Amino acid sequence: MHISDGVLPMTVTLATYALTIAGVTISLKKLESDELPKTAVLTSAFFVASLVHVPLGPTSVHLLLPGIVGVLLGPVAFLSITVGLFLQSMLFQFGGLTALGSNAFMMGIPAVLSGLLFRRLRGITLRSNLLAGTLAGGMGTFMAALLLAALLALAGEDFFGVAKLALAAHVPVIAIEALVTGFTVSFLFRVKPDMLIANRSTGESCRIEEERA
Amino acid sequence: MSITARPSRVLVAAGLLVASLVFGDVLSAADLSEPAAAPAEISGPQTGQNQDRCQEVMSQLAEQEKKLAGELRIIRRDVAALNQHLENPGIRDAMAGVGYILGLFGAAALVASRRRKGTEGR
Repeated sequence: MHISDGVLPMTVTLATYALTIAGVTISLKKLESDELPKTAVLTSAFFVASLVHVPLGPTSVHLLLPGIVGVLLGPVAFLSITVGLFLQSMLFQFGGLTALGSNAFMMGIPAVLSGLLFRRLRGITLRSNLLAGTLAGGMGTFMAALLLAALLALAGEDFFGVAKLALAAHVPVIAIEALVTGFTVSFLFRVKPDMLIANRSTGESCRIEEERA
Repeated sequence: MSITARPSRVLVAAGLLVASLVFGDVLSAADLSEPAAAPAEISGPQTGQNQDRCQEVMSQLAEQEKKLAGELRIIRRDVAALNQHLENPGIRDAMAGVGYILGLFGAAALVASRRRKGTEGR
């Protein structure tokens, strides 16, 4: 689900590039040096995810993973996804460099929103975390498909047609990502709940430790 | 005549001999083309046989050409598929990207730790 060069008009390209630069700057400000290993691992996972193909009739789609990146990183997900997309464009030729701004915007915003959704819904029990993780994981790709349709609608395509097509093609991806995010969140909740906290300044980790103790 | 004149005369004679042989070949080849045209007008039944054989050879050539064209098409399709296959990102590109990512974040971690050591050590 990458937009290639020359599809979007110049105004949309410039606007999304500006928004992406703003998003990356905000992410950089929120980046803490303790989070760097986690960010590196998730960026690598996002980068390699596009090599995992899910068969869909005659063709196949590939995993996207904005959901889990957003859930585990929070606002830093924007930077992580931009770096991953840049390297995908350079090494795999997925999407062009002029479309990098729009692709990063299309994937980064759903990631950050998934992170917000997860943090809002997570609660303190294992089950609520699992459900919130599953939902946020699925919503990541769902929102990315909608943003793709919106961007292509700005380029002149029919919004509902593209949206229907993109969502229908990515239903297996949404299902798989929801499952994977759910499993990951429940595993991390049991083994190392600190990793689920994107921002150290929230007091949620203390509450969870108190609950379990 | 001087002594050096004899070798030069031998050379001239040899050159003329070779030239006559070469040009004689060319002329005789040119001569052969004309006699080939003449018998076609003279003998009747031999012309028909020649033409039949000619047609046979031509049709065989056409068949071979068709077969070769088919094979070439298959080969060209294979080459296009191979090109497409080579363009696919492979494990090498994936490792390159992961290495780049780890290097980038590792450099950032290095800078961050230096900065922290700088402010905490004193």
